[in-house]
Amino acid sequence: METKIPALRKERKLSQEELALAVGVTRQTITSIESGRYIASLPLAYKIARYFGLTIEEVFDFSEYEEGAER
Amino acid sequence: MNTQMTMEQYRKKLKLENLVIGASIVILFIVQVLAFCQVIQPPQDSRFVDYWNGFIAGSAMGVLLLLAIGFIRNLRAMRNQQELQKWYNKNYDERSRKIATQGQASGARVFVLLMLPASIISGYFSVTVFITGVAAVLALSVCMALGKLYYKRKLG
Repeated sequence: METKIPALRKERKLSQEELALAVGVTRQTITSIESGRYIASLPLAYKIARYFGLTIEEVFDFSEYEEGAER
Repeated sequence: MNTQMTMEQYRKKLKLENLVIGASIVILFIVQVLAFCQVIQPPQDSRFVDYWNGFIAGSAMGVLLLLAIGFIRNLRAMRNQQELQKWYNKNYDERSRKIATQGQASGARVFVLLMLPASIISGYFSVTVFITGVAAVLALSVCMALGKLYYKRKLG
């Protein structure tokens, strides 16, 4: 799953470590989410989105889960 | 829905953990001193008494060292809010927990799948190994089934 986290971090001059500390996970988890290897749970996705003052859909790209989209 | 503990609850958990670790360190230290003074001794009926004594003493020292590291690490975390938060994140990180859960479940499945034929084959050579193998597979299978049942009920 693609995310806008790297761009949002860059915009706010935020390191992965700082974001991780703020949302209660390790830096490795943020790295995995950013690279699309790990899909964040709903509560974590919510925390990340809230941290940036956005909605979940604005941070995470759900287009591959849209009805009719190829899996 | 909030299943996460607060930092204060986590600090209390670490405090309790350190109490148990501290008690273990004291008990193990006393046992080591008593063993050093030869008040208590490991079983002497082995042909490898010296080796055995050394092995027990070495194991105890290793465990003592690990316990001491854990004790100091917890103490440091409890005294520093940022360190505490970092430690909490590391322990409750959802990805790490998922890796551990999936890894353990896969490991248990592989163990059962490999041990069953291995136990049957060993039955041709040793009855003891066969019974031990089958018992281990059965025990693990029962534990896995109970765990599955528990989480089936818990997660509705």
